[in-house]
Amino acid sequence: MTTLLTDEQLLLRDSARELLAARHPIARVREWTRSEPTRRAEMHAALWKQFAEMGWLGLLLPEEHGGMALTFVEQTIVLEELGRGLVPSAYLSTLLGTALLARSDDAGLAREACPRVAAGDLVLAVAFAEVEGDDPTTFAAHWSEAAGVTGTKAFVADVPVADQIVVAVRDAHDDLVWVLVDRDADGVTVESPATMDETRPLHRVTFEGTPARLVGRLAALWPHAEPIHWLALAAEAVGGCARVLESTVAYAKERVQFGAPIGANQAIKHKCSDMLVRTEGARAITYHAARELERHRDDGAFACSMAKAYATEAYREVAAEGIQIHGGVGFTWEFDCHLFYKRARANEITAGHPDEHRERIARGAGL
Amino acid sequence: MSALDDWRTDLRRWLDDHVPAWWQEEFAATPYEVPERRFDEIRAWQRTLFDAGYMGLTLPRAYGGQGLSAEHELIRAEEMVRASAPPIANQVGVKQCVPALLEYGTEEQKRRFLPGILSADEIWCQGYSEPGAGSDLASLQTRAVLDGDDYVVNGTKIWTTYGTHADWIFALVRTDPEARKQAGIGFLLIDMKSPGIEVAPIVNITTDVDFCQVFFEDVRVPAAHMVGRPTQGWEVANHVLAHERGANLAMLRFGDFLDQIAERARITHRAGRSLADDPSFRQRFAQCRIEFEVLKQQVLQSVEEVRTGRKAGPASSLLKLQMSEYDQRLSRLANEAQGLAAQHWLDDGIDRGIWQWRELWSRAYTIFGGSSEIQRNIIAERILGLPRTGKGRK
Ligand SMILES: Cc1cc2nc3c(=O)[nH]c(=O)nc-3n(C[C@H](O)[C@H](O)[C@H](O)COP(=O)(O)OP(=O)(O)OC[C@H]3O[C@@H](n4cnc5c(N)ncnc54)[C@H](O)[C@@H]3O)c2cc1C
Repeated sequence: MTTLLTDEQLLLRDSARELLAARHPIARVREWTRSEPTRRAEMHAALWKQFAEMGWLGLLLPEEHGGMALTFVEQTIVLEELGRGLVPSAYLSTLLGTALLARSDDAGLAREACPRVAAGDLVLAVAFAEVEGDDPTTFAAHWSEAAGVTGTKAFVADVPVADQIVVAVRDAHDDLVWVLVDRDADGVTVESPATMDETRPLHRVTFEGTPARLVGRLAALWPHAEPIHWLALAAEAVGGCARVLESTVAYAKERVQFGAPIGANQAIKHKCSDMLVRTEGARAITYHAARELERHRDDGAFACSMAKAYATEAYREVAAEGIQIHGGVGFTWEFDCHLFYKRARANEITAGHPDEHRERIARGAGL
Repeated sequence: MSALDDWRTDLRRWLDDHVPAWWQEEFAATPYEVPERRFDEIRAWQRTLFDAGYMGLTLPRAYGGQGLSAEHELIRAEEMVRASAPPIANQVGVKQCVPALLEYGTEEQKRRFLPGILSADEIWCQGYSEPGAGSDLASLQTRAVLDGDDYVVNGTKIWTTYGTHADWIFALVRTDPEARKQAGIGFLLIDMKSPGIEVAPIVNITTDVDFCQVFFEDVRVPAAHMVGRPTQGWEVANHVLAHERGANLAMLRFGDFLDQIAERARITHRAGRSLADDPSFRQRFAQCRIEFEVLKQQVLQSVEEVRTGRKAGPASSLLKLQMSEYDQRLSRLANEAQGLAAQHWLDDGIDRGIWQWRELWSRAYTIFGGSSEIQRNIIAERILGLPRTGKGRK
């Protein structure tokens, strides 16, 4: 497989970038963060409709499910552009939720859910972590056919706009399983503690005897879905890096101090060069991960783990240098630097800190 | 396609039979440096390659080449890596003088010099740097003054790699001291046996004598040995530099090195456990593993760009910068995996001290071919479009 994007893929990237810049610029992202929940939901619904029209919601899904049957490379392109625009949407959550449902032992579930996802009629949230963290051995939420789901899941994105939530719980044998609940079902309470990254709020969801449908065993499904989460966060990071680099370089050319643009100073130039190195490196490893996941749908985890570690760390560094090079204005609410830094930190922490991934890589590399 | 596959199979078989055993034993961990103390054997190796038809693949037969395609060249690079084959002796000649002659040389120069470069009958060295002109190469002072049919050359070149082995030097010389500094430079081919040339070896950090200082005193050089116009040298040198900084597939070998490092870490113990169980070592190892993949993907990408006809531009600076700094981290990690034994040197060290030797050598990678600082300037100015330093001031 080629390491270069094809003409069609470049076209997809350009059209995604154009669409998001026109319909969902950062000003609208800011408006969304300031809006009441009902207004947010309206804005999201409008955006979602557009995603469905573009075919983005079923990029990976087979044609018989209303999908486009494209590859993880196209999927990565769209995620990169969404990350570039910090677009608040349930895109990543739905992608991840769909990956779980599509592999359910309950074949009916995939058949029902996938076409609805592709058509834009089903928005998913994925509830994995709990208040204590995302180590599944500590999970306490439990489920049984008879008693439903009881317990609290935390750090769940996109709950307010989701139709259904895929939840990791313990079954009656203490095995970890995924179950599916309706967001509006009985016994679901949602709290929304404030989050640093306002473009991706996280929620705490408490279930009390909530009826649920079994999706499948965590051990069977998660190894296929988790790498997609890593890849997606890395892809967003690549888009974020590129955007921060562009605006920072533009600022360095324009801001004059000591009678010259600040970008004429080597201290600034070398930071910018390093930002480009990190951005291009993040891009290279992330698209490599996408191709690996495509090649071995069941075994791209190693590459996705590398991409998650490298790209999200790069994003944090690039976003931090972006603030630094902007000086005082970089510290203001008005300039966008902080929005990217906050998302970068969230992406770095979510789905395995880079240290955790490096530990996995060391093991995978035979150490 | 199948003709290419056959060609690859033949080459692979040939390499299995011909890669010298002493190289495999002692130097398999040195993907690009020629150990100076084995120079003559490396020179013989290049001759063997040449005789078998594996040098100058894309060059016309009239110049000693094989008239084959860029695809062949790529296959050759891949198979050389796969076989852990030694590098060639005339690296400077092949990577720099060949592209200069192909692009700017006269027909006569090409016929005269190219075959000898490929066969290693004539070893070449690069005469660019001077004591007062390093990163600021264009400030070079070595003069070439036309006198009849000859140039008369005076001055000195330094850090000239293989200067003691070289038969020829391609030198940047000042032909017009009145012109703007980049505009008064010529690219001149000089016979190292010419009267008036003095070569003084310099011992380097690894105790090898790789480079030297070359002194020119009234050295007469036929004017026909000027490549391009007498004031075109800067352009020629820049054309060559882009080639020098391009992707080096030899880095694919780093994957094997990482495996060897993991193996060594299991043997080495510190603080009551194997180094392989030390969390901080594991983190650094994994980071090197990740960065290897990050670099490899960019190298493969650039190979593909070249193959699909895109030119090696300033983007080659991105690779040069990352590769040189990565090499330093990797060889330091390899030595760390040896524990205390990392202090031994050459024959008394593990694997004949190859990693100590490489760690020291790797310090040069961020200096020559444009230092890391210069690469960062190039990236900032030519890729990102930031103002030239000093020139942005009003
Ligand atoms: C092992 C080895 C082999 C070599 N082989 C050859 C050869 O075969 N032929 C040949 O011609 N030359 C050769 N060189 C020379 C090499 O090209 C020079 O060393 C190099 O160009 C740097 O020049 P310099 O040593 O004078 O350092 P300087 O230019 O004096 O640099 C010293 C330091 O200042 C920094 N610096 C300089 N200018 C700037 C700037 N504008 N901005 C920021 N930092 C700056 C540099 O990055 C460096 O850190 C070799 C060097 C080595 C180490």
